[in-house]
Amino acid sequence: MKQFIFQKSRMKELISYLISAYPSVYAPVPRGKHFVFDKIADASNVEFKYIRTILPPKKYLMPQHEALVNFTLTENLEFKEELVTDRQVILGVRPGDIRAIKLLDDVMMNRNKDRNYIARRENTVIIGIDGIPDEYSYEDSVMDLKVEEGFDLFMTDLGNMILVDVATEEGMKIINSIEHEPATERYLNLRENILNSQREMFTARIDIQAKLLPLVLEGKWNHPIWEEMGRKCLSCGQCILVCPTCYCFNVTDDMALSMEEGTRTRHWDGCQLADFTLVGHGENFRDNAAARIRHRFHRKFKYHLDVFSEIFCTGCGRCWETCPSEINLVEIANALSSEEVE
Amino acid sequence: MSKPRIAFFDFASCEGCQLEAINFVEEFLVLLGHVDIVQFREAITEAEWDIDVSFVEGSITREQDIPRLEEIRENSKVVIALGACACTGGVNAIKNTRPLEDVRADVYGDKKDWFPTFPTRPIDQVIKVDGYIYGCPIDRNDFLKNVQLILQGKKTLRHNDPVCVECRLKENECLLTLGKPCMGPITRGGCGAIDPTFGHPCTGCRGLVDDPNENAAMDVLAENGLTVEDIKSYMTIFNAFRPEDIQ
Amino acid sequence: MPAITENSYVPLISTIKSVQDLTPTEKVFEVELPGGRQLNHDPGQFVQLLVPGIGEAPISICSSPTDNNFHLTIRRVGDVTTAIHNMKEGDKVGIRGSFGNGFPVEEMKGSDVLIIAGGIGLAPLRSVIRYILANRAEYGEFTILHGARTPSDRLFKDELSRWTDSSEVNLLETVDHPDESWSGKSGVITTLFKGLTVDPSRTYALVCGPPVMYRFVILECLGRGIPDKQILVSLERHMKCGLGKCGHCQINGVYTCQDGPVFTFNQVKNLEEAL
Repeated sequence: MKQFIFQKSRMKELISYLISAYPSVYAPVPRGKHFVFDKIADASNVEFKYIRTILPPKKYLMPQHEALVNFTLTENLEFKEELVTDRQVILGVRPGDIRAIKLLDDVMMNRNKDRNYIARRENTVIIGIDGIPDEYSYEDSVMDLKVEEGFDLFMTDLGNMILVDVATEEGMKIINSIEHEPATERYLNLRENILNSQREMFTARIDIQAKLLPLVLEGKWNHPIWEEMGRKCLSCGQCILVCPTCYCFNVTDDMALSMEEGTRTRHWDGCQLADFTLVGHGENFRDNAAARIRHRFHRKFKYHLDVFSEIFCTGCGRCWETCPSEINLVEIANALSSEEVE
Repeated sequence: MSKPRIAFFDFASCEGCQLEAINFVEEFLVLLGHVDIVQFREAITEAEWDIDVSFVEGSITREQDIPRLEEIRENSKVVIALGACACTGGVNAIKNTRPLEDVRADVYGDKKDWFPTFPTRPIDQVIKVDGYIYGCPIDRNDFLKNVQLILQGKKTLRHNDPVCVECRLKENECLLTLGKPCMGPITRGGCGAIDPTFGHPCTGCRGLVDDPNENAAMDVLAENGLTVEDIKSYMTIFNAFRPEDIQ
Repeated sequence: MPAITENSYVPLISTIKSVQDLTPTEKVFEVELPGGRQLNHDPGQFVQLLVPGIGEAPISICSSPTDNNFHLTIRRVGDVTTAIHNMKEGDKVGIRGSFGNGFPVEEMKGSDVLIIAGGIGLAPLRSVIRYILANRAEYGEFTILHGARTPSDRLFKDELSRWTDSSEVNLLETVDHPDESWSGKSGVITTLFKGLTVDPSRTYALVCGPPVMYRFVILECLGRGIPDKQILVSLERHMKCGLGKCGHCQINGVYTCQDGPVFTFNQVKNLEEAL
């Protein structure tokens, strides 16, 4: 990894280069009081000083509704995979979302490779940027704010200058489009100071080391916290839809109106929705909100840890901010672990 | 193979769902040669029985509606409830929240005895229904998709995922996070979250999901500025019908 | 899993070779893969069956790999199963799979086998039954306990009567609700355990049936001293992708479609959500 610095005033130039060099460039833009990743045509709308976007940038690797396979039902029944290989840049990705994409890569690009995901992923350039937390953020409790992989470029805002980590050849090519110089020790130290001050800014914290949560969960299957949260949960599914590390899905076969051709489409789906575990003859294997919340918590802090050795939560705070009942994983984690101390 | 024959009927309703439907049936399904329309008071006059699929709009509010609805059932292979009034009773069921005599006096004054009515009910309280197309009014895309499924011999969409799902996937700002009372979390989806998309809170026109957490929903609405009375009336705009109303 | 197509979501277009009515709601479909391909499944595995334009459903394979082509027993419950019930010989369907782990028929060799099948649970277990019958000399005592709701709900009636007459297998049957056509036992499936003697240490018990059945049957097996790791259950879940990704079939941390559908009781007793 190489480090360079460039003048912040050159950011527009950098964005213009990206727009000229890639068919699609996505970046955070305001939507009302919130932010979303959207395709940009110029630098004017881009806002790097955002806390979080409504949906994570995952939507460009595994869209909300994604055609996987097209088929025709005429004389020759035929199924053809639909691979999207257009080059794209996701600009302004926060460390937590970079880590989340890395986790999705682990899931989708290894055992039983998902060709549709891989096609998009291999054509995606990721340019990260640092940022500050708000009252819903708890990245610091579950990960290191300093990400070392999963991006082409990572930018740290030093004030008038931007420090940029260059992780790939493609990243280097992009940085070569603007004037830059090697980062001296002074700038690297400045970045460490900024990181440290960002770590101080978190107000929401998991009280114990998150990697210990699998141990904390032992014997807590019938803990009252699940029922307590279940009573508040509306099963609206927002938490799992906004989650950068959730990847559960449904697949439907939909016909065009001609009734001659159709599409196998993947849709985001998830374990907090009531019908998720429903089977054909009416049995529902996780038929209450308390059990569903318990499952979600275990997926984030135990089940996936057992398989991937990683916590499947980045502390981005999206699920917390969007939950109508303000259910959040920090409160659950702290309720479970406080008893350990007592 | 002959084309499926479809028909439209209405009971207590504004007939808005039929108007919405006719454009789309004619534009897409008739033109494509997928169906023939045999009964459609809004569209054609001749009446024919021997129907494959009947779409019934409106709720049942009078004794004399019952034999007519039963006749439709007997003469149709598939009966689909079209729109909120037919699916859940819709706004017509608000009258069930007050004594029937008072409601009739309010509406018909001293002529109330000329117009006997009974508590409003959705059509599935009278006949077996094979599928539902929810909403006030129905959503055109949802309608077309469902008609297509019916013609394929499939069930209509359950829509047990709430409005929040489509709303979140469209990346609308959540109205509840903006302090606006919204029924999205416990209301059946399938409308493309059209109201919240344009900044209007969902009022539950597609009916509540199976097993809605109404207590938690009321807490959320209260936190977003509604009084207990407000919440009650809000939650009964489209969802006033209770099976015990007609026992 | 045989990677039968390059993209995991593209099915292999296959042909229905025969259709046989079993009950008013269940039929058996014989399916032939294209180009002389063989499924080479393990008994107890399932496939994703796609009815073009309608959708997919997970269906357990009810034939033995030693049979020609493969067979699917399908109950008419949803859109996909209703649609295939309207299909006939020569029609095309899509197949993905086979998926899952299947029963450990190799490990079971030399042991006694006790099959406990309730209702449509007989379908996946039939693949093992036929496999064992095709390799009969390699297994010890072979007993089948079979329960159905009513006499007319019994699947594979011809085969059941052949097994009743066969000296190669000991078939015991019961129905929950007998009628005048039924002269056999009545009552729930656990009543068949009465008077049953097993040599527990050398017995494998294979269980599949409706969700309510498992606890009671497992208790009977444990009560007869069959070791936890030799009690094998095949579990039903909403298996959607078959690839251990979509999440619908997850039981605690395991994906039924990949790590199951067959689990030992040893595994299941540590899975809070399994039974």
